[in-house]
Amino acid sequence: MAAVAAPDAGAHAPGAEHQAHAKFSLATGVVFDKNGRLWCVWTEEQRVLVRYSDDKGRHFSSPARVNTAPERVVADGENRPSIAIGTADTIYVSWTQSLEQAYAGHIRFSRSRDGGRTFSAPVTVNDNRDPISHRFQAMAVDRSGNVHLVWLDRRDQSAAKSRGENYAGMAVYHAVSRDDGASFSVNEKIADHSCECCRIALALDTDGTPVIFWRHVFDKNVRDHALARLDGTAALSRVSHDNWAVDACPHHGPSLSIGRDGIYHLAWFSGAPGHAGLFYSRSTDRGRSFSVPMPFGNSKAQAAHPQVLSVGGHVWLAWKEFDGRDAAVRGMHSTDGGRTWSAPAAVATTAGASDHPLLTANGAEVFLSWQTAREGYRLIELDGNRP
Amino acid sequence: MTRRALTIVIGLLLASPVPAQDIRAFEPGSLAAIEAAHAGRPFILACWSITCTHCQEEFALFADLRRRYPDLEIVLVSTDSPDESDAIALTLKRYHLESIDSWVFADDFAERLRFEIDRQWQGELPRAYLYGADRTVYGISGRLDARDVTRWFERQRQFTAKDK
Repeated sequence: MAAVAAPDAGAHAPGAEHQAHAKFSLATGVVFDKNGRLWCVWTEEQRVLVRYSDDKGRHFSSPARVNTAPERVVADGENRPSIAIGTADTIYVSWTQSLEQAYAGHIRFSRSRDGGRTFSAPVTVNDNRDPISHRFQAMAVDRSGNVHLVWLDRRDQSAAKSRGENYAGMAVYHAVSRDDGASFSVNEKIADHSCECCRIALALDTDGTPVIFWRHVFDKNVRDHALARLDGTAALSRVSHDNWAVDACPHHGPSLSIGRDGIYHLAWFSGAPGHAGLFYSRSTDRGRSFSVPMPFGNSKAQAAHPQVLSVGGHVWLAWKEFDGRDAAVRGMHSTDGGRTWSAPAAVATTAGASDHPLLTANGAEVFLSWQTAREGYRLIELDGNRP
Repeated sequence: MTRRALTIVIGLLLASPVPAQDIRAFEPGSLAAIEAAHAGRPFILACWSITCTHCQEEFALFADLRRRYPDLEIVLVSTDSPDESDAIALTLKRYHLESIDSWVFADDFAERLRFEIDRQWQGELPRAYLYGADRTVYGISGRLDARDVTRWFERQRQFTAKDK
């Protein structure tokens, strides 16, 4: 890992060769550690790979291989490998392994305790091992160093089906490791009836409680959003009332950020006829009530895949648009905890394929992390003026 | 067919577990080609993916519609990639849709292809477009309703019959 490669040279460059194999995925997970080192995880040729940068993405270490035995790794926008750093600097990596059966997958986990040089043999975290869907993992580490994984799980739908009963959607499951990733708890169901193929947003409240935000199936097929605090009460709050009733896969999950002020910031997409688009809302009472949703983005330009990030009273929104020629990441900024917002502005554009935009922070610095096919990996600092 | 030719054909069939279905590359310009190929006739353009749980729920409907209305043209566009053609073909075979006009997104810049089809389509699947003979187009997200599609096509038939 000591060797430094020029950015976008080497194994991760999505050149024609990789397009021919199409095993390279733009879907990249990122995190800054406490020393300001940026860690990236992605997949290529049935391997999960990790590299780091000490100069904000200009140069990267050579990639370390997480799984020595190749396996099919799901990485397609809503599904991306996750990376997180433990309180004792252990590096945790998680991903969804794709199985032969349609839609089927397992939630995989590996850790490195030597600064990312070597990784443990991957383990499967879902304790139901049927060849059914366990996918769309999200990972976070709380203040006590517990590693939380949440994902979408088909086991209850599958059981209902075998009893001849209907079961809408999937379920959200949770597992936690209290020993630095050495082992995971028995899986716990958080909610029945999640939407089937939208990423789950996971953030930590100021008291350390993990909070999740996901597209749920209300009633028969209303694909609006729900929020739950993983505090053992199993209470679910309905966040959005767009009433998007549809038997479809939106492939379009929400985003959640909780700042030091404890305000919950939420962003999502709805395709409800007559009022489709992106929306932002905030909660100042830990998810009991929510502000009137604020629409944002140009719905005639495919405004999509919103991200929200709150750092010290400032809040950023970023999302993707397409104008017929270029894809752009556009952003908005709030200096008052999400009450008022700047006008939207373009942060970056590309004339080719690109990943969803991600927002990530290094202390008080906020960055757009964006993997593009043409320009390679881009890390762009956002400040009060941009956007 | 000579015995030798027959042997080769059987050999090919055995060697390849995947049905030999021609899945065409959907690229910028493909939509215009599809529209031109169906000019003056109603057809359904249906977008789907092998990863979409709701998409295959309407394949039985398509198979049934094709049986009942041999003159109803259906064009399938998979938003997967050309390297998933085998999986696409296997899925279609399962629903007896081997002979259906089938395309696959062949451009990583999927936004561009989606924009060409419908600039307000956000990628949710299944997404279908009912193209009337007069080129009135209805875009529908989610699994198609058998009764709605049947009613639409019956009306299209009356319309085109009157036209003739």
